[in-house]
Amino acid sequence: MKSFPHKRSKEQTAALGEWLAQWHLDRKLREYPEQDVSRENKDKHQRAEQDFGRLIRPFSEEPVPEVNQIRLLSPSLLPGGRGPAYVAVLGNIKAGCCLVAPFSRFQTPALPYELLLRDSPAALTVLCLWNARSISTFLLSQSWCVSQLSEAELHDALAICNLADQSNSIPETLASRVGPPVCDLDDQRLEYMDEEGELWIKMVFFPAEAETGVYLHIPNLRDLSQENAMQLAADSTDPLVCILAFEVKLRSLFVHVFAKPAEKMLFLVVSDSFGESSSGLDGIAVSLRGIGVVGQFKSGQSLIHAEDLADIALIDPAGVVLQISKIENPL
Amino acid sequence: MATEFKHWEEWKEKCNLRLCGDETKAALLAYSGKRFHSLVEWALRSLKFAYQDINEKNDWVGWDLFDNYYIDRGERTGKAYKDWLFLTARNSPDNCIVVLEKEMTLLLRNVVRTYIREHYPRKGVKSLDAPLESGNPDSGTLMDVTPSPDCSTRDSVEASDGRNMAAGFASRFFEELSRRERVVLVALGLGLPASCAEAEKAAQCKRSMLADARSQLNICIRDRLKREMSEDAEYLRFYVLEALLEKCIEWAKGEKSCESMFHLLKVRQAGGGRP
Repeated sequence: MKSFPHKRSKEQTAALGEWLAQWHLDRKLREYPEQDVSRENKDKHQRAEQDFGRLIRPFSEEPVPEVNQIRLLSPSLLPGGRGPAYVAVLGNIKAGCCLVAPFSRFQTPALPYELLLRDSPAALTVLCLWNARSISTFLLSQSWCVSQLSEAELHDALAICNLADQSNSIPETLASRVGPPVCDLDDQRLEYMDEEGELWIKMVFFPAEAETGVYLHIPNLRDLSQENAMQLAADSTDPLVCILAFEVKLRSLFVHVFAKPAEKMLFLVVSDSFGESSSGLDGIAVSLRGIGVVGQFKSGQSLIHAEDLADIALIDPAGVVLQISKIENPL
Repeated sequence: MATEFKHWEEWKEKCNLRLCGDETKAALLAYSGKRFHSLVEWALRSLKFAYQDINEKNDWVGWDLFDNYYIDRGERTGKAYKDWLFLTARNSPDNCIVVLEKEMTLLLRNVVRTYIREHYPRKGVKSLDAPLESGNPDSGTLMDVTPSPDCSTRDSVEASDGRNMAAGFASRFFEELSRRERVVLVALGLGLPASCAEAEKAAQCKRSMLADARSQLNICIRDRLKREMSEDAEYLRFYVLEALLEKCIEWAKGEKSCESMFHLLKVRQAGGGRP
């Protein structure tokens, strides 16, 4: 590790002063008392819900995620109350997985790994490369493509990403466009980093720490009541029984798990909120606790072998375990 | 005048508020103007020592700033933030008008910050010794978060002595650090937020506990340095932190639970594979 970066230019100190003034202003504005404007006009509310569809540009009409794009993430992916999150797509990590970096809500770089982009609108001024993450294109496709980085901007951003950690020095050509280093545990920029780091909490987590909402228990097939049986194919003699249904959060898709009591095969079928079959989970892996990946969705279906009492989870190509929640009385 | 869904709808469809009918214009302008100026006044009142109130109220000023703040750039036109706004409202179980207005206020906060920065001059020049938060002497100073000027001006022999003293202190102190405290320092050394899932995994605790551990550790280092090296405590603080970071990162390299923190850095570098 190189020596701790003690030297800070006058310009950086002035910029830090400016950033801190913005930070305190931001905190004051957060304390602004919410005014209660509750309205209970249900007719108005219902009409609004009907009209929303044509007012929101569907993600399916957006270009697929590609390097260089700037995208606005769906609010469904984010913790509430933080406002819109714009990200730049910096690279492809592997198939189905991209490196993205979010933009700061401030217009001054706060940290050495924050890069000022010139001639950008206010919301797209500072790129937070310290907060770059690999996320699956599955998640990233739930965003609107709003713009593109120039080749030079992408080059500069990657030059900073390629530095291993804070101890490496920033290239001289970029020094005037990044923030000063953090050298103190008292520095309020650490609090800022903590807050901004939480951008990813709904998208990135580890199953070991977040078992709830990750694994679902597959019920014992022998205990199933025949009342729940659902005949999937007209010529089938053994009925396929729906033993479990769950919602894949962040995507508003539903998975029904069917089984034949005499066999140990499970048939997973994906549908959307209208009950239509959907290929929206294609490429997602099906995993069983203690066993690992046992199958993958293709054309909206997956066939897996499962013992009784298994726990099931879904994993996207980036290795992120999807949050799922059981639906009671699915049929 | 209260906003209604039809007003928001027209604004979305016609793109520019100036192209909307009088009723929509009046409703949205009244709402945004009122919120915009309340936020400005709230901020200026809270920070009365820092800014001079010189501007007059004009509802279009706030609206135009807002409309330009989130505008997209480049060849893809359209204002995706409006889609974001409407999807947020659709996803919420609450009354959609209430959500639209609430989210609009949230969007306006960023706009107000920029507006104050550009239109209200800060009084005087900020001294390095002035409180970071105007009117709050306990908020620390810019100097507190800036490395001591002594670090760069003292001669190299003295700096070398300082490093040696700090290294000795850090070696003893490192042994006393808890796992959480070490992870906090690893995150700092690697430029990662202590709130990231990888740090939680490494420390085996929640992010709030890591934030607490950081505060406690900061106090502890200051107290110990004052007790053991009273004269040089401030001077040595940065060298001690530097030495501690180095030790903690070395420690983390041998810890399986910390692997994901290093992996995160590797992924960023791997992302640079495509120029």
